[in-house]
Amino acid sequence: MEKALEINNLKFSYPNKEVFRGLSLTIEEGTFTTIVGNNKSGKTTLIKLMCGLLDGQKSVVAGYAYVNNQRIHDNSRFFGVVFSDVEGKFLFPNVYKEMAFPLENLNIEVKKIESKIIDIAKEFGITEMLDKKIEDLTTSEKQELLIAISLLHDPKMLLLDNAFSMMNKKSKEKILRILKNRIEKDHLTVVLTTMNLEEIIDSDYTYVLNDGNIVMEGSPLQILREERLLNQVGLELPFMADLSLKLEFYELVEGITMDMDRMVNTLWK
Amino acid sequence: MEIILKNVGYYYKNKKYLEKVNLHIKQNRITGITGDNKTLLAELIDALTFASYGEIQVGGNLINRKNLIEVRRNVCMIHQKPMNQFFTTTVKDEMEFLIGRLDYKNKNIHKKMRDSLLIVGLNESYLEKTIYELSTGEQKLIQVAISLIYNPKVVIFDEPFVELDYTNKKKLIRLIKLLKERYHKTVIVTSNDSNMLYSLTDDLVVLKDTRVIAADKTGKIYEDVDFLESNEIEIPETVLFTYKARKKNVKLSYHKDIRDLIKDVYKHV
Repeated sequence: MEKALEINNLKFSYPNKEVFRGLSLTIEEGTFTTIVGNNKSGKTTLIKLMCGLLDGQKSVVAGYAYVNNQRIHDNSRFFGVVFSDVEGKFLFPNVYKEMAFPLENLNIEVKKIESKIIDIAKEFGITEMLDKKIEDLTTSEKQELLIAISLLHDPKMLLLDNAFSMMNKKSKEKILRILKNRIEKDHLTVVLTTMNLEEIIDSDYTYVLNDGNIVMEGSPLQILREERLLNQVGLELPFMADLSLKLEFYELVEGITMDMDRMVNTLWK
Repeated sequence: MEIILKNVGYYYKNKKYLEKVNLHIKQNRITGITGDNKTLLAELIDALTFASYGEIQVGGNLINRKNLIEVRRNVCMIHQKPMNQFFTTTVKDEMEFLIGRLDYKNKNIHKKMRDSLLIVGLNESYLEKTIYELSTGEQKLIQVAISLIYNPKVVIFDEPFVELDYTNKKKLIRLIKLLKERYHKTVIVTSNDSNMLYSLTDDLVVLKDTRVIAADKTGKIYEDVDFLESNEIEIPETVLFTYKARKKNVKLSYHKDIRDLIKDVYKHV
């Protein structure tokens, strides 16, 4: 598999605070990677470094586009980025115009823009939302919309910085389904940062970030087994993982099951 | 201090947001508010917004535009984004600003400032810190500390756990319980996190569209799975587990704590 993004010995500090003292990680093309960590672990800074919003002294290499302010115009097409805060992210009063704006910037024909927006709206099931005003949307819908917009220009890589934080369960599942579909079909690479361990379950690979260092990496199920370490770095086990591990201790179940029905069925046949 | 809402409604530009709300929020209990427009309801109690019709009593005092200082002294609201609530740069300035605003007089004001920081689990050194170097979790704790100086009887937390990690969440939960148990405050928590509300709150108010559809003891509402399902409210995971087990004729009881649930499961396997 090809590498979509590579970080080598990344060092970065803000004027009065050191964030990364030599971080390395690779993200493979066409995978869903999660980076999990507590408040202040450096997740947002990492995402900003990845997409070139901050300069990481030539230590981030993404696909073919170098992220050190050299070929930044390539970057903006390579990446789709969504941050967790929805306030101040919208420029226009209504949804359709908001969606058209990034495409207009890319100098795409009006007709193509229209069909593109309709396609995406169908994919996300938000066709009715197109005529609405932004102010009438709930926070959950705004987050959905931001993700839809970030996919409009068919990026090769989607960076989500805690972008599910205010979504309800249903929307979260829907978005995950759409992203998985895109990963399979278009070989999209998705990186999601979160502090909610429940969100790592569907990913292919997980990094645990604490205070600018990667303290653990592996498949989600491997990560969830390390309850002590996760609590130490300020992360809470999801209910089903917690239950599985505790019941496993009493030798009632084997391994981590995230499906509640299956767990109930194994306990009481 | 109890809060009574009589036939309260709110509309804006001909759109109804709340209709015919009748509520009795009891003294010295933790009350959760969940569902649509919950922040609006909290803002009405804090007198940040005024109801279009109906009356709100806080501790026997009717809220109107003339007694705002009185209301502000009695009710304190910790907003979802604490950054929006700060006016000055350091914690000390912020405390002094609020003391001045509310015309609060106390000889030992500096001791009080230190004490209130200790109550929320932060030490004296935080007085000199600037707001910007604090994490979101710490900012929320600082807001609570500031409010404790003038001793409000009602404390409202608006979506307190969004964007908080496990460590900060645990701190805040401990603090909310402390406010109720040791300082006998009336606490209101708005949230959509049913797991959290189920384990934390005593009473619960459920809003749907513009109306209150349930207001009762938390356990009573969250253990009525059919009601939750028909109104599309998220079921707390411990409840859902018991519910699924009961469907298989296992006599499991409802538990708020996962450890109690596991003991019960162990008994019934």
